[in-house]
Amino acid sequence: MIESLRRSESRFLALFAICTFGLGVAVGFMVRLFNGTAIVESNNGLRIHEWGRESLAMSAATASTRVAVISLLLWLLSFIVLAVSLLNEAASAQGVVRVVASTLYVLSFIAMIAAISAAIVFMMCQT
Amino acid sequence: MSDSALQPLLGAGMLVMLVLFLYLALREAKNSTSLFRYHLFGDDLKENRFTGSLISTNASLSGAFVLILYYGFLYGPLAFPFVWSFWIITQLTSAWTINRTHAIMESHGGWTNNRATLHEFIGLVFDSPQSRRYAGLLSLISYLGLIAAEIVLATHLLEFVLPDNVRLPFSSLARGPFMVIAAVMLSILIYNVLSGFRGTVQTDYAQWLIISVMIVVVGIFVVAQWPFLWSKYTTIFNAPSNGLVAAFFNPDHQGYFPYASFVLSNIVFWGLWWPGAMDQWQRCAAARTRRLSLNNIWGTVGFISLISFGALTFVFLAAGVWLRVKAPDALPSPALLREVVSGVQQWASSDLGRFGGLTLCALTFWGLVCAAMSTIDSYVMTASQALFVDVAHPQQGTTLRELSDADVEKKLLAQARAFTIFIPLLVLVFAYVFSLVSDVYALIYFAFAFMFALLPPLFVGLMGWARPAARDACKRSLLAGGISTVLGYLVLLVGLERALRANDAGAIFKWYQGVYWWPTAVTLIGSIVLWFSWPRGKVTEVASND
Repeated sequence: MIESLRRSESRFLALFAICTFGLGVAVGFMVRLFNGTAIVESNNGLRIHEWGRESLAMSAATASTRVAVISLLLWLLSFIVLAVSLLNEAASAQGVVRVVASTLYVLSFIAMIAAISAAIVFMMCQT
Repeated sequence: MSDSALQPLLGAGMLVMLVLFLYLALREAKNSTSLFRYHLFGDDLKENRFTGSLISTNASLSGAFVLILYYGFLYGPLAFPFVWSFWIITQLTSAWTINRTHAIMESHGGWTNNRATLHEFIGLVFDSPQSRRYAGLLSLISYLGLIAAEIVLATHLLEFVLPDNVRLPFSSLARGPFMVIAAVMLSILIYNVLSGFRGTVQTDYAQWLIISVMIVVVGIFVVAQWPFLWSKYTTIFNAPSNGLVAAFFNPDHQGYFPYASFVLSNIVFWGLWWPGAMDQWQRCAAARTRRLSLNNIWGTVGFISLISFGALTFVFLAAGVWLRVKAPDALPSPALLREVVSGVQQWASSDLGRFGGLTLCALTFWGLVCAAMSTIDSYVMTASQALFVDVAHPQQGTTLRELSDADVEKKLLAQARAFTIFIPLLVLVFAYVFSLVSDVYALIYFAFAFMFALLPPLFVGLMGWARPAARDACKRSLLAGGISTVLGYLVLLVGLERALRANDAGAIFKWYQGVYWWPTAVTLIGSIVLWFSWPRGKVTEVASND
């Protein structure tokens, strides 16, 4: 995988990262929408460490929102990397940009897994 | 919003719309093979009746919704003939501009061949790349402002589906909805970067359909509410029973002169904005021929456009009146759109049941969000072309076509894609700044006013009076227009903000008059500077050294 990342063009890596972060944001927000109207940091005095379906649902909403926020920031960063890689491509120079793009590419998969995990936790709470 | 199914339904619908637009637009990614095809579609835009309607309706529709809603809120239902006449004058001005452009471009190789857009036209007729750069910069600021205003409005609308008590620092914008609209814009950016203007055109048909459905639904709502708003509006506005003259020419009891001022200033504003609108030039240049844009049925002056603008005016004017009747003491605010969605839901739920309430509310919400998406995707490409072609590369070729032909290795195409990415990033900053003020209504006029700075040199060019010796006069006029826009609106927006915070209705109406008239003042200032800088007597024409 590392070798294929090294060979890939940075703009493709950044583009993949953009698409995956986008999915992460979408999944995160949909989880929050299914959990009610507002971000719930603490639910009517219910303590977050107390195990139970309500606290689990509350945690899923909060977690999905945070995943969405982080994904959005990394999404913005990926776009900047894509812009820089396109400019570098025109000047035939790569290097650091490719390393950053590869890092974002890997991070995007982590964000996506986190978002899907939040969604699964949410679905467990609904049953 | 009490139905638990509504929130996920609205959110899922937004996602489906985004996926649909991505699918439609990304099909064109493989065809965006040159700078010309990326920014101006290329030579293969199909001539069908739909393309004509696109030119006339799509690009600026969502900003118009809001302005007309405010007109209804402020001036009542009898403003209808005046507001419809704003559209008609716009359509006539556009037809005149298209015909004049064809005539003037004959001596520059013909518009069908060079496909000059607004800034290139100014650069060509004055033989001045620097003037083209200034014109591009003014348009760029204008479009950044308009997209930012759209983001602020959409954020307030999205609070309907994502209520959030957490606000952005120093701002009235809720954090969650702002993030969602930022995410929507970044999703749109994916196809803007890969497919360019070709992708935008591909999404327009679907967007037009969704927006049209929304207009029909809001239309049904206002017709259903008509007995209520017609019986109540007379408690706020002058009714025909008080005399037709008072009802039509002093509807808001503020006096004949202020209302005449509103009507006249907006006849100038709506009537003259078209020639200075780069997005309309972009579409007309992409269409290649006047057969589409001047089609008698579907074109910009066509029968269908005339009727659809009339229907649009009626629907949103009546929605504005309904809002005012419902809350007579309320001040205009960006939250009005959200109130309309909420009103549709409450009415449909009580009269048509749960399913009817969900359906009509969702169609209204999706239509309004789609209008914002439609504006964002087309304006991002317009701003991108202005930034890359006219601001960054005015010296390399007189038109985009020449610049594209010189780009054999496609390096400029890669750079153009990068420049497109910077537009939404700048817009997010603009949107945050815009969110610091109480109301976005005046900011729409502010953003449009930069287009009015282009009008004096453009009018001279369209009349055939422009010549290379007058290039300095052109540059000074553009600069004066830009500076007067910034300074004038700085004073107006600060004054209006103070009045809004003091809840002083009289002062608000007074400041609005300034907001309405300043675009005209910008054009006048630019015209005066152009007049005094114009070379007199016999002048030897010299080649451009811009």
